[in-house]
Amino acid sequence: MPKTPTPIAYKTIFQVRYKAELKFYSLFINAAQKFTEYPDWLTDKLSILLKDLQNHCSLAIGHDSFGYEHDFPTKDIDQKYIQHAISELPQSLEITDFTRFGYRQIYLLSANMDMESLVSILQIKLFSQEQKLRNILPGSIGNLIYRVNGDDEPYKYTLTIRPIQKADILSLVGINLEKHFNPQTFEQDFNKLEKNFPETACLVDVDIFQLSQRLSSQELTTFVAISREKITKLVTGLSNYLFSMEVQDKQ
Amino acid sequence: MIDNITTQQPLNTQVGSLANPAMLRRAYGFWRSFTQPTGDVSNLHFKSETQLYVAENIKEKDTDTIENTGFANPSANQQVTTLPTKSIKKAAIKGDTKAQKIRRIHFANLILRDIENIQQNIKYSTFVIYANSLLHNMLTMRDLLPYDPYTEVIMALYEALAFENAWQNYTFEQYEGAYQLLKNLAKVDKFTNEKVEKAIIKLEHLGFNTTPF
Repeated sequence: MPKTPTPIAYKTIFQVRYKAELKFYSLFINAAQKFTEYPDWLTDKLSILLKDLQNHCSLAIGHDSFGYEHDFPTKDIDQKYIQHAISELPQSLEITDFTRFGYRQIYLLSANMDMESLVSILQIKLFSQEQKLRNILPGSIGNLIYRVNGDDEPYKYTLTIRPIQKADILSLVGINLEKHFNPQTFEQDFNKLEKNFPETACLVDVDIFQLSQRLSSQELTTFVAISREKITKLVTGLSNYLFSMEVQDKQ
Repeated sequence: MIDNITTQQPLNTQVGSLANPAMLRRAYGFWRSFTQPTGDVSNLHFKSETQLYVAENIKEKDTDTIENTGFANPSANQQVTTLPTKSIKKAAIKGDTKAQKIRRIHFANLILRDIENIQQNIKYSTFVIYANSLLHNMLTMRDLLPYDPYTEVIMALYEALAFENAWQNYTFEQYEGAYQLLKNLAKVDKFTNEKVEKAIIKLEHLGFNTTPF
Protein backbone atom coordinates (compact mmCIF):
# COMPACT_ATOMS: atom_id res chain seq x y z
CA MET A 1 0.00 0.00 0.00
CA PRO A 2 1.48 3.40 -0.97
CA LYS A 3 2.45 5.53 1.97
CA THR A 4 0.98 8.92 2.69
CA PRO A 5 3.51 11.78 2.73
CA THR A 6 5.56 12.26 5.86
CA PRO A 7 4.81 15.71 7.30
CA ILE A 8 7.91 17.88 7.34
CA ALA A 9 8.07 20.85 9.70
CA TYR A 10 9.16 24.10 8.03
CA LYS A 11 8.60 26.46 10.92
CA THR A 12 8.11 26.48 14.68
CA ILE A 13 6.99 29.52 16.62
CA PHE A 14 6.60 29.46 20.37
CA GLN A 15 5.52 32.54 22.29
CA VAL A 16 4.71 33.35 25.89
CA ARG A 17 2.97 36.60 26.85
CA TYR A 18 2.86 38.22 30.26
CA LYS A 19 1.88 41.49 31.85
CA ALA A 20 4.48 44.24 31.27
CA GLU A 21 6.32 45.45 34.35
CA LEU A 22 8.96 48.13 34.66
CA LYS A 23 11.42 45.83 36.40
CA PHE A 24 11.85 44.02 33.09
CA TYR A 25 14.37 46.59 31.86
CA SER A 26 16.81 45.91 34.66
CA LEU A 27 16.53 42.16 34.23
CA PHE A 28 16.42 41.25 30.57
CA ILE A 29 20.10 41.73 29.64
CA ASN A 30 21.18 39.47 32.50
CA ALA A 31 18.54 36.92 31.49
CA ALA A 32 19.73 36.98 27.87
CA GLN A 33 23.31 36.28 28.88
CA LYS A 34 22.30 32.86 30.12
CA PHE A 35 21.46 31.68 26.59
CA THR A 36 24.91 30.83 25.33
CA GLU A 37 23.54 28.54 22.62
CA TYR A 38 22.71 31.65 20.58
CA PRO A 39 26.04 33.09 19.41
CA ASP A 40 24.62 36.27 17.82
CA TRP A 41 22.47 39.00 19.26
CA LEU A 42 20.77 42.25 18.37
CA THR A 43 19.29 44.83 20.76
CA ASP A 44 17.54 48.20 20.73
CA LYS A 45 18.11 48.41 24.51
CA LEU A 46 14.38 47.82 25.13
CA SER A 47 14.34 44.23 23.89
CA ILE A 48 16.86 41.70 22.67
CA LEU A 49 17.00 39.19 19.84
CA LEU A 50 19.31 36.19 20.30
CA LYS A 51 20.21 34.35 17.11
CA ASP A 52 21.58 30.93 16.22
CA LEU A 53 22.20 31.36 12.50
CA GLN A 54 23.59 27.89 12.05
CA ASN A 55 20.35 26.30 13.20
CA HIS A 56 18.19 29.08 11.71
CA CYS A 57 16.48 29.99 14.97
CA SER A 58 16.14 32.92 17.36
CA LEU A 59 14.83 33.91 20.77
CA ALA A 60 13.29 37.35 21.21
CA ILE A 61 12.88 38.74 24.72
CA GLY A 62 10.56 41.71 25.10
CA HIS A 63 8.79 43.64 27.88
CA ASP A 64 5.50 41.73 27.49
CA SER A 65 6.52 38.51 25.71
CA PHE A 66 9.33 36.16 24.80
CA GLY A 67 9.26 34.14 21.63
CA TYR A 68 11.24 31.39 19.96
CA GLU A 69 11.19 31.04 16.19
CA HIS A 70 12.84 28.32 14.13
CA ASP A 71 12.98 27.93 10.35
CA PHE A 72 13.49 24.37 9.12
CA PRO A 73 13.17 23.08 12.67
CA THR A 74 14.42 19.83 14.07
CA LYS A 75 12.67 18.18 16.96
CA ASP A 76 15.80 18.00 19.11
CA ILE A 77 16.73 21.66 18.78
CA ASP A 78 13.13 22.76 19.35
CA GLN A 79 12.81 20.69 22.49
CA LYS A 80 16.17 21.75 23.89
CA TYR A 81 15.85 25.47 23.16
CA ILE A 82 12.21 25.80 24.23
CA GLN A 83 12.85 23.85 27.39
CA HIS A 84 15.74 26.16 28.22
CA ALA A 85 13.60 29.25 27.60
CA ILE A 86 10.68 28.12 29.74
CA SER A 87 12.87 26.96 32.58
CA GLU A 88 15.15 30.03 32.63
CA LEU A 89 13.21 33.11 31.56
CA PRO A 90 10.26 33.17 34.01
CA GLN A 91 12.72 32.97 36.86
CA SER A 92 15.25 35.48 35.45
CA LEU A 93 12.57 37.98 34.44
CA GLU A 94 10.65 37.41 37.70
CA ILE A 95 7.43 36.53 35.90
CA THR A 96 4.89 34.76 38.06
CA ASP A 97 1.76 34.90 35.89
CA PHE A 98 1.32 34.59 32.17
CA THR A 99 -1.55 35.70 29.96
CA ARG A 100 -1.04 33.66 26.80
CA PHE A 101 0.89 30.63 25.58
CA GLY A 102 1.17 29.93 21.88
CA TYR A 103 2.75 27.06 19.96
CA ARG A 104 2.56 27.14 16.19
CA GLN A 105 4.04 24.83 13.59
CA ILE A 106 3.87 24.93 9.83
CA TYR A 107 4.20 21.60 8.03
CA LEU A 108 4.37 20.72 4.37
CA LEU A 109 2.96 17.47 3.05
CA SER A 110 4.75 16.82 -0.22
CA ALA A 111 2.06 16.13 -2.81
CA ASN A 112 4.05 14.94 -5.82
CA MET A 113 1.37 16.03 -8.28
CA ASP A 114 0.41 19.10 -10.24
CA MET A 115 -1.28 22.05 -8.54
CA GLU A 116 -4.61 21.50 -10.29
CA SER A 117 -4.82 17.94 -9.01
CA LEU A 118 -3.84 18.97 -5.50
CA VAL A 119 -6.50 21.68 -5.41
CA SER A 120 -9.12 19.22 -6.59
CA ILE A 121 -8.16 16.72 -3.88
CA LEU A 122 -8.38 19.36 -1.16
CA GLN A 123 -11.68 20.57 -2.54
CA ILE A 124 -13.17 17.10 -2.58
CA LYS A 125 -11.82 16.17 0.82
CA LEU A 126 -12.35 19.41 2.76
CA PHE A 127 -15.36 21.15 1.26
CA SER A 128 -19.00 20.31 0.67
CA GLN A 129 -19.80 18.80 -2.70
CA GLU A 130 -23.50 19.62 -2.57
CA GLN A 131 -24.91 20.14 -6.01
CA LYS A 132 -26.52 23.43 -4.92
CA LEU A 133 -23.20 24.86 -3.78
CA ARG A 134 -21.41 23.70 -6.90
CA ASN A 135 -24.05 25.45 -8.99
CA ILE A 136 -23.58 28.68 -7.08
CA LEU A 137 -19.79 28.78 -7.27
CA PRO A 138 -18.61 30.23 -10.55
CA GLY A 139 -16.46 28.19 -12.97
CA SER A 140 -13.73 25.91 -11.80
CA ILE A 141 -11.74 26.45 -8.64
CA GLY A 142 -8.09 27.37 -9.17
CA ASN A 143 -6.99 27.67 -5.57
CA LEU A 144 -8.47 27.46 -2.10
CA ILE A 145 -7.77 27.80 1.60
CA TYR A 146 -9.34 25.95 4.52
CA ARG A 147 -9.31 27.64 7.90
CA VAL A 148 -10.79 26.58 11.20
CA ASN A 149 -10.79 28.27 14.59
CA GLY A 150 -11.54 25.76 17.28
CA ASP A 151 -11.75 25.11 21.00
CA ASP A 152 -10.17 22.12 22.62
CA GLU A 153 -10.47 23.17 26.26
CA PRO A 154 -8.42 24.60 27.82
CA TYR A 155 -6.67 25.20 24.50
CA LYS A 156 -7.77 27.00 21.38
CA TYR A 157 -6.43 26.42 17.92
CA THR A 158 -6.32 27.85 14.44
CA LEU A 159 -5.83 25.42 11.60
CA THR A 160 -5.05 26.49 8.05
CA ILE A 161 -4.70 24.09 5.13
CA ARG A 162 -3.82 25.23 1.63
CA PRO A 163 -2.06 23.99 -1.48
CA ILE A 164 1.30 25.57 -2.13
CA GLN A 165 3.82 25.66 -4.96
CA LYS A 166 7.59 25.64 -4.59
CA ALA A 167 7.89 29.30 -5.61
CA ASP A 168 5.54 30.38 -2.79
CA ILE A 169 7.09 28.43 0.05
CA LEU A 170 9.42 31.22 1.16
CA SER A 171 6.66 33.79 1.52
CA LEU A 172 3.75 31.61 2.65
CA VAL A 173 5.71 29.68 5.24
CA GLY A 174 7.25 32.97 6.33
CA ILE A 175 10.86 31.85 6.30
CA ASN A 176 12.84 34.61 7.94
CA LEU A 177 15.97 35.04 5.82
CA GLU A 178 16.97 38.26 7.54
CA LYS A 179 16.79 36.94 11.08
CA HIS A 180 17.81 33.32 10.67
CA PHE A 181 20.44 33.23 7.95
CA ASN A 182 23.97 34.52 7.85
CA PRO A 183 23.89 37.73 5.75
CA GLN A 184 27.15 36.75 4.05
CA THR A 185 26.09 33.26 3.00
CA PHE A 186 22.31 33.32 3.11
CA GLU A 187 21.93 32.85 -0.62
CA GLN A 188 23.98 29.65 -0.75
CA ASP A 189 22.52 28.38 2.52
CA PHE A 190 18.99 28.95 1.36
CA ASN A 191 19.61 27.50 -2.10
CA LYS A 192 20.85 24.30 -0.49
CA LEU A 193 17.64 24.00 1.47
CA GLU A 194 15.47 25.06 -1.44
CA LYS A 195 16.70 22.12 -3.52
CA ASN A 196 14.71 19.83 -1.25
CA PHE A 197 11.49 21.85 -1.44
CA PRO A 198 8.61 19.90 -2.99
CA GLU A 199 7.23 21.21 -6.29
CA THR A 200 3.76 21.17 -4.79
CA ALA A 201 2.66 20.50 -1.26
CA CYS A 202 -0.18 20.86 1.15
CA LEU A 203 0.63 23.45 3.79
CA VAL A 204 -0.72 22.69 7.26
CA ASP A 205 -0.43 25.54 9.74
CA VAL A 206 -1.45 24.68 13.30
CA ASP A 207 -1.51 27.34 15.97
CA ILE A 208 -2.43 26.13 19.45
CA PHE A 209 -2.81 28.69 22.22
CA GLN A 210 -4.06 29.10 25.75
CA LEU A 211 -5.47 32.37 27.08
CA SER A 212 -6.15 33.41 30.64
CA GLN A 213 -5.51 36.26 33.05
CA ARG A 214 -3.33 34.09 35.26
CA LEU A 215 -1.46 31.17 33.81
CA SER A 216 1.24 29.49 35.90
CA SER A 217 4.70 28.12 35.07
CA GLN A 218 3.36 24.63 35.69
CA GLU A 219 0.68 25.19 33.07
CA LEU A 220 3.36 26.42 30.67
CA THR A 221 5.29 23.14 30.90
CA THR A 222 2.11 21.13 30.39
CA PHE A 223 1.06 23.35 27.48
CA VAL A 224 4.30 22.81 25.58
CA ALA A 225 4.19 19.03 25.96
CA ILE A 226 0.52 18.73 25.05
CA SER A 227 0.72 21.14 22.11
CA ARG A 228 3.56 19.17 20.55
CA GLU A 229 1.62 15.96 20.93
CA LYS A 230 -1.60 17.45 19.55
CA ILE A 231 0.10 19.03 16.55
CA THR A 232 1.91 15.82 15.64
CA LYS A 233 -1.30 13.83 15.91
CA LEU A 234 -3.29 16.36 13.90
CA VAL A 235 -0.78 16.70 11.09
CA THR A 236 -0.25 12.94 10.79
CA GLY A 237 -4.01 12.40 10.78
CA LEU A 238 -4.48 15.01 8.07
CA SER A 239 -1.75 13.51 5.93
CA ASN A 240 -3.42 10.11 6.17
CA TYR A 241 -6.84 11.56 5.45
CA LEU A 242 -5.91 13.82 2.56
CA PHE A 243 -3.61 11.47 0.69
CA SER A 244 -5.03 8.08 1.62
CA MET A 245 -5.05 5.48 -1.13
CA GLU A 246 -6.44 2.79 1.08
CA VAL A 247 -9.82 1.22 0.51
CA GLN A 248 -11.44 0.94 3.91
CA ASP A 249 -12.64 -2.39 5.22
CA LYS A 250 -16.09 -2.96 6.62
CA GLN A 251 -16.58 -1.62 10.12
CA MET B 1 -9.10 -9.76 -8.48
CA ILE B 2 -12.48 -9.19 -9.99
CA ASP B 3 -12.55 -12.70 -11.33
CA ASN B 4 -12.32 -14.18 -7.86
CA ILE B 5 -15.71 -12.88 -6.83
CA THR B 6 -18.37 -15.52 -6.58
CA THR B 7 -21.29 -14.45 -8.67
CA GLN B 8 -24.93 -15.35 -8.57
CA GLN B 9 -27.08 -16.39 -11.46
CA PRO B 10 -28.56 -13.46 -13.33
CA LEU B 11 -31.90 -12.45 -11.89
CA ASN B 12 -33.26 -10.71 -14.91
CA THR B 13 -33.81 -11.94 -18.39
CA GLN B 14 -32.44 -8.91 -20.13
CA VAL B 15 -28.87 -10.14 -19.83
CA GLY B 16 -29.59 -13.09 -22.02
CA SER B 17 -30.84 -10.89 -24.81
CA LEU B 18 -27.71 -8.73 -24.93
CA ALA B 19 -24.43 -9.94 -26.29
CA ASN B 20 -22.46 -7.55 -24.11
CA PRO B 21 -24.27 -5.21 -21.74
CA ALA B 22 -21.07 -3.30 -21.06
CA MET B 23 -20.77 -2.48 -24.74
CA LEU B 24 -24.37 -1.42 -24.83
CA ARG B 25 -23.74 0.88 -21.89
CA ARG B 26 -20.75 2.32 -23.64
CA ALA B 27 -22.84 3.00 -26.69
CA TYR B 28 -25.69 4.76 -24.92
CA GLY B 29 -25.48 4.73 -21.20
CA PHE B 30 -22.39 6.45 -19.94
CA TRP B 31 -22.62 9.77 -21.66
CA ARG B 32 -26.35 9.59 -21.41
CA SER B 33 -25.94 9.58 -17.66
CA PHE B 34 -24.26 12.99 -17.90
CA THR B 35 -27.58 14.46 -18.84
CA GLN B 36 -29.30 12.92 -15.83
CA PRO B 37 -30.64 15.65 -13.56
CA THR B 38 -29.40 15.45 -10.00
CA GLY B 39 -31.70 15.92 -7.05
CA ASP B 40 -34.12 13.88 -4.96
CA VAL B 41 -34.13 10.13 -5.15
CA SER B 42 -37.81 10.32 -6.01
CA ASN B 43 -36.92 12.01 -9.29
CA LEU B 44 -34.44 9.45 -10.42
CA HIS B 45 -36.50 7.78 -13.11
CA PHE B 46 -35.33 7.91 -16.68
CA LYS B 47 -37.39 8.98 -19.62
CA SER B 48 -35.70 7.13 -22.43
CA GLU B 49 -36.78 9.17 -25.44
CA THR B 50 -35.88 12.48 -23.88
CA GLN B 51 -32.57 11.19 -22.63
CA LEU B 52 -31.59 9.75 -25.98
CA TYR B 53 -32.56 12.97 -27.71
CA VAL B 54 -30.33 14.96 -25.37
CA ALA B 55 -27.58 12.42 -25.81
CA GLU B 56 -27.65 12.88 -29.55
CA ASN B 57 -27.22 16.60 -29.11
CA ILE B 58 -24.29 16.07 -26.80
CA LYS B 59 -22.66 13.74 -29.29
CA GLU B 60 -22.61 16.55 -31.81
CA LYS B 61 -20.89 18.84 -29.33
CA ASP B 62 -18.21 16.30 -28.50
CA THR B 63 -15.45 18.89 -28.24
CA ASP B 64 -15.47 19.94 -24.61
CA THR B 65 -12.16 21.14 -23.27
CA ILE B 66 -10.39 19.78 -20.23
CA GLU B 67 -10.44 23.25 -18.76
CA ASN B 68 -14.20 23.24 -18.83
CA THR B 69 -14.46 20.00 -16.92
CA GLY B 70 -12.84 21.38 -13.81
CA PHE B 71 -11.42 18.17 -12.45
CA ALA B 72 -9.75 16.49 -15.36
CA ASN B 73 -6.18 15.65 -14.66
CA PRO B 74 -4.13 15.66 -17.82
CA SER B 75 -0.56 14.49 -17.58
CA ALA B 76 2.27 16.74 -18.65
CA ASN B 77 2.40 15.26 -22.13
CA GLN B 78 -1.21 15.92 -22.96
CA GLN B 79 -2.53 18.96 -24.72
CA VAL B 80 -4.89 20.81 -22.44
CA THR B 81 -6.87 22.71 -25.02
CA THR B 82 -9.72 21.61 -27.24
CA LEU B 83 -9.27 17.89 -26.85
CA PRO B 84 -12.31 15.92 -27.86
CA THR B 85 -13.84 14.10 -24.91
CA LYS B 86 -13.01 10.70 -26.38
CA SER B 87 -9.30 11.52 -26.21
CA ILE B 88 -9.63 12.72 -22.65
CA LYS B 89 -11.35 9.51 -21.67
CA LYS B 90 -8.59 7.49 -23.27
CA ALA B 91 -5.93 9.59 -21.58
CA ALA B 92 -7.64 9.24 -18.25
CA ILE B 93 -7.58 5.48 -18.64
CA LYS B 94 -3.91 5.50 -19.63
CA GLY B 95 -2.52 7.96 -17.10
CA ASP B 96 -3.78 6.59 -13.83
CA THR B 97 -2.05 9.12 -11.63
CA LYS B 98 -1.71 9.33 -7.89
CA ALA B 99 -4.19 12.18 -7.72
CA GLN B 100 -6.76 10.24 -9.70
CA LYS B 101 -6.38 7.30 -7.39
CA ILE B 102 -6.75 9.43 -4.25
CA ARG B 103 -9.94 11.02 -5.61
CA ARG B 104 -11.30 7.70 -6.80
CA ILE B 105 -10.67 5.96 -3.49
CA HIS B 106 -12.24 8.85 -1.60
CA PHE B 107 -15.52 8.33 -3.44
CA ALA B 108 -15.15 4.56 -3.44
CA ASN B 109 -14.93 4.63 0.35
CA LEU B 110 -18.07 6.80 0.60
CA ILE B 111 -19.98 4.52 -1.74
CA LEU B 112 -18.76 1.34 -0.04
CA ARG B 113 -19.79 2.72 3.35
CA ASP B 114 -23.25 3.49 1.98
CA ILE B 115 -23.61 -0.03 0.61
CA GLU B 116 -22.48 -1.41 3.95
CA ASN B 117 -25.08 0.73 5.73
CA ILE B 118 -27.76 -0.42 3.28
CA GLN B 119 -26.91 -4.02 4.05
CA GLN B 120 -27.08 -3.40 7.77
CA ASN B 121 -30.45 -1.65 7.47
CA ILE B 122 -31.98 -3.62 4.65
CA LYS B 123 -34.87 -4.80 6.82
CA TYR B 124 -35.59 -1.37 8.30
CA SER B 125 -37.04 1.86 7.01
CA THR B 126 -33.66 3.61 7.58
CA PHE B 127 -32.56 1.71 4.48
CA VAL B 128 -33.99 4.62 2.44
CA ILE B 129 -31.61 7.14 4.00
CA TYR B 130 -28.57 5.13 2.99
CA ALA B 131 -29.95 4.43 -0.47
CA ASN B 132 -30.45 8.17 -0.89
CA SER B 133 -26.90 8.84 0.29
CA LEU B 134 -25.54 6.15 -2.03
CA LEU B 135 -27.26 7.56 -5.10
CA HIS B 136 -26.17 11.09 -4.25
CA ASN B 137 -22.57 10.04 -3.76
CA MET B 138 -22.65 8.21 -7.06
CA LEU B 139 -23.91 11.32 -8.84
CA THR B 140 -21.33 13.51 -7.12
CA MET B 141 -18.63 11.14 -8.30
CA ARG B 142 -20.00 11.34 -11.82
CA ASP B 143 -19.98 15.14 -11.66
CA LEU B 144 -16.48 15.46 -10.23
CA LEU B 145 -14.67 12.51 -11.80
CA PRO B 146 -16.47 12.08 -15.10
CA TYR B 147 -13.47 10.62 -16.93
CA ASP B 148 -12.39 8.14 -14.31
CA PRO B 149 -13.01 4.62 -15.64
CA TYR B 150 -14.16 3.56 -12.17
CA THR B 151 -16.99 6.08 -12.50
CA GLU B 152 -18.26 4.14 -15.48
CA VAL B 153 -18.78 1.07 -13.30
CA ILE B 154 -20.33 3.22 -10.58
CA MET B 155 -22.76 4.70 -13.10
CA ALA B 156 -23.67 1.23 -14.35
CA LEU B 157 -24.66 0.33 -10.81
CA TYR B 158 -26.36 3.69 -10.41
CA GLU B 159 -28.61 3.05 -13.35
CA ALA B 160 -29.46 -0.39 -12.05
CA LEU B 161 -30.40 1.10 -8.68
CA ALA B 162 -32.03 4.36 -9.72
CA PHE B 163 -34.27 3.23 -12.56
CA GLU B 164 -37.81 3.00 -11.18
CA ASN B 165 -36.34 3.01 -7.68
CA ALA B 166 -35.00 -0.49 -8.17
CA TRP B 167 -32.63 -0.05 -5.23
CA GLN B 168 -35.40 -1.32 -2.93
CA ASN B 169 -35.71 -4.62 -4.82
CA TYR B 170 -32.14 -5.88 -4.54
CA THR B 171 -31.13 -8.36 -1.86
CA PHE B 172 -28.45 -8.32 0.85
CA GLU B 173 -26.40 -10.80 -1.19
CA GLN B 174 -26.59 -8.69 -4.33
CA TYR B 175 -25.41 -5.64 -2.42
CA GLU B 176 -22.62 -7.77 -0.96
CA GLY B 177 -21.60 -8.81 -4.45
CA ALA B 178 -21.56 -5.18 -5.58
CA TYR B 179 -19.60 -4.19 -2.48
CA GLN B 180 -16.89 -6.76 -3.08
CA LEU B 181 -16.72 -5.95 -6.77
CA LEU B 182 -16.36 -2.20 -6.23
CA LYS B 183 -13.91 -2.68 -3.38
CA ASN B 184 -11.62 -4.88 -5.44
CA LEU B 185 -11.92 -2.63 -8.45
CA ALA B 186 -11.00 0.47 -6.43
CA LYS B 187 -7.66 -1.14 -5.62
CA VAL B 188 -6.77 -1.63 -9.27
CA ASP B 189 -3.78 0.46 -10.35
CA LYS B 190 -4.20 0.37 -14.09
CA PHE B 191 -7.63 0.40 -15.61
CA THR B 192 -8.29 -0.98 -19.04
CA ASN B 193 -11.50 -0.94 -21.02
CA GLU B 194 -11.57 -4.69 -20.58
CA LYS B 195 -11.52 -4.44 -16.79
CA VAL B 196 -14.33 -1.91 -16.82
CA GLU B 197 -16.41 -4.03 -19.15
CA LYS B 198 -15.75 -7.17 -17.10
CA ALA B 199 -16.85 -5.37 -13.97
CA ILE B 200 -20.09 -4.21 -15.59
CA ILE B 201 -20.79 -7.71 -16.85
CA LYS B 202 -20.12 -8.97 -13.35
CA LEU B 203 -22.74 -6.55 -12.05
CA GLU B 204 -25.16 -7.98 -14.57
CA HIS B 205 -24.34 -11.47 -13.37
CA LEU B 206 -25.08 -10.35 -9.86
CA GLY B 207 -28.54 -9.44 -11.07
CA PHE B 208 -28.14 -5.68 -11.45
CA ASN B 209 -29.86 -4.49 -14.57
CA THR B 210 -27.34 -1.91 -15.77
CA THR B 211 -29.21 -1.21 -19.00
CA PRO B 212 -32.76 -0.61 -17.87
CA PHE B 213 -33.60 1.85 -20.65
